[in-house]
Amino acid sequence: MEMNYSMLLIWLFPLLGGILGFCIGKKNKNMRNDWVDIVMFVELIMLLCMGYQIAKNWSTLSMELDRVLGFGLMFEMNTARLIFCLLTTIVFGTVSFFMKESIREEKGSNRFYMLYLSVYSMIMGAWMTPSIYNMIIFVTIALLLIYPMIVHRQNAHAVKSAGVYLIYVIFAVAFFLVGMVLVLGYIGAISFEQIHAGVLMRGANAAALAGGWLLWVVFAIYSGLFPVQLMMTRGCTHGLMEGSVLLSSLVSKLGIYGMMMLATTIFHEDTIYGKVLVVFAILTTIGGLSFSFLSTDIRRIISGLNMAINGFISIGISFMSLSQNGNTLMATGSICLLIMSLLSVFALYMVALELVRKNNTFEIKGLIASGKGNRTLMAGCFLIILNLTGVPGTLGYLGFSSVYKSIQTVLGWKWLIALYVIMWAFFMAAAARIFMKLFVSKKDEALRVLSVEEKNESEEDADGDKKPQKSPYLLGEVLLIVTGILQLVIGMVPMLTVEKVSDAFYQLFFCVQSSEASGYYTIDGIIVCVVAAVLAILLYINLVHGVLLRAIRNKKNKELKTKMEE
Amino acid sequence: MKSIRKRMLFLLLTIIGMLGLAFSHVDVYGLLGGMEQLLFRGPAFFLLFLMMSKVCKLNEIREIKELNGICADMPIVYGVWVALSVFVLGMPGTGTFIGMMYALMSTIAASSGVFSYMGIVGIVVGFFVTVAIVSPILREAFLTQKEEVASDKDGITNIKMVDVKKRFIKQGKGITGVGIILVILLLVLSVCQQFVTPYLMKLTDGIL
Repeated sequence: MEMNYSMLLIWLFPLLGGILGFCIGKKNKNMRNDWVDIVMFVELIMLLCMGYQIAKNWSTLSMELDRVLGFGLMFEMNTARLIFCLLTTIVFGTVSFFMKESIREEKGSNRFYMLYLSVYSMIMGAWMTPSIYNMIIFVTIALLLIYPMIVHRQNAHAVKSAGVYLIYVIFAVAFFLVGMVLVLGYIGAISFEQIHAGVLMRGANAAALAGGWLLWVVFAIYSGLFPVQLMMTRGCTHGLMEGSVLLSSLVSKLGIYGMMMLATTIFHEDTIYGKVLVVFAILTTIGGLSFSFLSTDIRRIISGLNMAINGFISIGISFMSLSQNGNTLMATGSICLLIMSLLSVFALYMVALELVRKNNTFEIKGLIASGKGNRTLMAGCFLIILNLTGVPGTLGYLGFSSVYKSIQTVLGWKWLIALYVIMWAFFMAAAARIFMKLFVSKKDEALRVLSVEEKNESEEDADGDKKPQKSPYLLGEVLLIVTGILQLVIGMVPMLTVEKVSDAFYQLFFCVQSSEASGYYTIDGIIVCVVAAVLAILLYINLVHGVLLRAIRNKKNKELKTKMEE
Repeated sequence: MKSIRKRMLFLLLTIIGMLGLAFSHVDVYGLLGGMEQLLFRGPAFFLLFLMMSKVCKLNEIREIKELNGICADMPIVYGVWVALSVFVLGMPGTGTFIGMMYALMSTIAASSGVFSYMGIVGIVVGFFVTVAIVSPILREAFLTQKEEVASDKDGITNIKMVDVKKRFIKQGKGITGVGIILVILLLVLSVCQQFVTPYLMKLTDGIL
């Protein structure tokens, strides 16, 4: 095995950069912000250099240090892991552009940036390691570092939510402790490849499976799967959005990645795993959609959407275990949805962050039409929503249609197909709701007569608004548009994009070639998408603008009438 | 439990219990696990106890609520407390966690029926208890106490929550320096287990 120590540098550089940034920030905050940009840029360059080395020889770079951290420290870089690392760097880099403005006046910003870069380091380590032991250690450290980011403002709600968050992290550590010992003891390996080989050769006995299930609970907690979703939901609803985005778009995807690995290693062709996972996945999707629809806080709405999309990905993963004729089709669907949600959820958070900072409220009512004047942001959000909803021609569509085909080929249960289409429709409506509320809906008019002074004031404000102001988040908004276009390009030409890298991902997840042909744009896939879209439009009109709104308006009129009578 | 002293006493009892569980299996992994935990938990707990006692004695602090604002006033001291607590609790990545894994391996390998299950439950519950004892102390020390301040403007009373500014008497730099050195040493030994495990294995062989 070739020892490539540059991976140690990729892992540790952001951590050291964070500590150095803390010291620089004490003297000059602008210099600190520039230093953070340098760290991101250098990481990107290092990853691209790695990519060049991999492409030159078509090999995997690896590094192993025995006995470090007790059972060894392993890093590996191949095409698939490189893509995950690049996406992580894009997320952290873009969020840091937004943070320059959003965290500018925040107390304790030095500490926040230090924690931010440390979390970046740990998440990169988690993507780069082929060892389940190292991966969970890095994710646990990242979660513990995110705790002070959640309680940064120290308000009562944030502290309470962070307490619940920490309890789940501790439970995950306890499950990891016992699960890892069982897997190590009965399979005798800690790297995914060795576990896969061990299970193929000797099979997994009851104790090893018990260890696998305990590790599955750990990844379920990370990904926010029902009924252990509270770590995700509580962690994302009251803290700063700059911290919530790391949990939703990165840590939860690491949990999904872990569940996928378990499906093809310890639970290789284990139908019980598949059946249990599909049940919890459906409940997660329904739970996430309910959470999103019933919330008025933008953080909860996006957190609910994230939970729902993780449910969809988990449905795809469950079919990787249920399928007896190869699982590359299911893997394609899950991986496309994973990458799409990683990019789209973070972008949605950034859109919401900008509008929340401008309008000083997290409530969707206060954010209605708040993004109307900002065309760059509107364009970015529109592209993201297109991908999230799974419109044909997007990366989201490739994911959703592949998962649908998995259901059709593996089980073919009509009730499950119908349920899937209905959930997809609800998801489209929930995602569209965000865009419509922020950029399309009209602001509610005042329900009382304005005095002359108030009327003059509002006219002056309206004149003031006519002057276009340069957004301080412009660079970040442009990056959001680039993210959306990237996903569109991948979705439009899957033969040139997905096909080129699919083998690398199949190798990473130990997939067996499916006997079914995997066409990307098939007639049945498009029909299902169209049916879901029509249902979504009906749902949106009735749920968001129909029944709900009428009920709210009736209640408001009743309250006004009572006040007038008094 | 509001008293800091009581919490530290219970923490010590829990640590002794977990060491007992590890050493009760007189085999390679049991002894190795016990010794790893003793090596990392012991000094970390001892210095944490010393540092906390010093700060509490200087500032006449008895209950955990009175620690509010220490993080803002003494960030380095608080940082050392957190780092030492990580080793005392046995978070993943530390030598203590590796010791707990070895102890669990020994418990499961012993296959003593009910006693094995009791051992597993004991180690897991011990972990939860240590976290439950230490984390409120760290949380209260991190959070700043807030008080309501009312201000009148144009006949309207505005109530704002502001931080209560406390001044803590700082402990000597010597003990903080020792804490920092110990944290670095424990971190290096946790990461570079190749310097620790062979020596502990030799000790284990000697005992067995």
